[in-house]
Amino acid sequence: MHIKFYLNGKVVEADVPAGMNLLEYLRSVSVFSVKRGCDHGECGSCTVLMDDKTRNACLILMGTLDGERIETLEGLNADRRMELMQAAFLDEGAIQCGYCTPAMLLALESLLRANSKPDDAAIKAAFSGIYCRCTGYVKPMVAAKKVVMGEVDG
Amino acid sequence: MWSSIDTIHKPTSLTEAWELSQTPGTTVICGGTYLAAERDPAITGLIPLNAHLSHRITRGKSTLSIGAGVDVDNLVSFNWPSPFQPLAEAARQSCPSANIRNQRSIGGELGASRFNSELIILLHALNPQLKIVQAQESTEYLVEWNGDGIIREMALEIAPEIRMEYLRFAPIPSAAPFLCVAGVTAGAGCRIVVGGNVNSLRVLEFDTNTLGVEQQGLVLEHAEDTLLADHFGGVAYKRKLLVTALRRLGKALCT
Ligand code: FES
Ligand code: FES
Repeated sequence: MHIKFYLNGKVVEADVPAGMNLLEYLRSVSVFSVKRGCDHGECGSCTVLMDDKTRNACLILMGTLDGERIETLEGLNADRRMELMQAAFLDEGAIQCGYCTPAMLLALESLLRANSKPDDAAIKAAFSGIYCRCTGYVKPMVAAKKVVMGEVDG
Repeated sequence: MWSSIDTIHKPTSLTEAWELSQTPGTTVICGGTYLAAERDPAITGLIPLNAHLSHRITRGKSTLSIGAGVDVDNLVSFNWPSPFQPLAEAARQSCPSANIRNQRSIGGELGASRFNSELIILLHALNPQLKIVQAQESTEYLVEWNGDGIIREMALEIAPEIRMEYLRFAPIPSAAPFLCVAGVTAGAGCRIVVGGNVNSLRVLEFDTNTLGVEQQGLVLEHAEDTLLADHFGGVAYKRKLLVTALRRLGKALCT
């Protein structure tokens, strides 16, 4: 089926199988920041932003995407805030295997778009859709707070 | 890939969506978190509803109208008027992942009607009216709804004397409760709902607005056979827990 949507600010028109999900599509066009973990909506490693909110790409069927606005890390890499978030994650050792990191960064970006001064509870809630099996969330929390407090050396 | 899907329909109205959904192998889809995760091979056609559902909560004089497209995260962040605030926490607990909350709609949640969802259990105790689209539109109370048709809207009556409480029992806060009991008192009556890891939700109504010893006994009698054994405990343990839960709920609704 033919679909038209926006990916990182650019119009995408594609002919795709009706049952294909967004995760499969993104990886087929080399958008590799979106990871396949469980493929069943549990882990959040396939997080994308849809209308500024985090969603699991493995649960979004391409056929339901007409007209929607999708963002991934590839579209935000040149963004100053993302640069600072990435620096904070590196500085604080918030990245270990890194598999969940793109999702964590998108979750933080989504939160900061809605609330520029989130408290700890709001940051925890933003990370709640993403499994991290390495960090125990302690260092990502520290990194996120540094971003919120404007304390990133960048 | 959900390989059995060959058609994604584009209905022009909810009535047309309902007509299409009568074809075997076809189902409606809203947030899609249940369907897209399950990928049932018997389903070949999907009917997206999002474009035809309201995504807004509107406050009228005596009712709150919640469009079926409102996502669960909106229920968490909505500024609920008194006495509906517990709905925000129930919505959050029923879906601990923010990503999934952004994707799930209240219409889909009511359709899925998970027995271990705090939100669904509390809503059964509140018993809102649902606007249901079939060949014609009808209004039904949630407790009486048989699951047929497409939910367009849910309406909660705002009455200051309503009180509501729910208690959940789960090994950790982000786990689904294996026992959850909700109660609502309004005017001269109360409604108690027992859910969790159960065969079916049990709903009891009383003509008194207290959950005293007599009513607690009746709930126990009516609900004990719905409790299921699991790795958290056998039925005898769950029964004892239900006794405790009802006692606590009785106190909470009275104070
Ligand atoms: S891969 Fe999508 S939630 Fe795990
Ligand atoms: S850093 Fe490895 S899963 Fe999060």
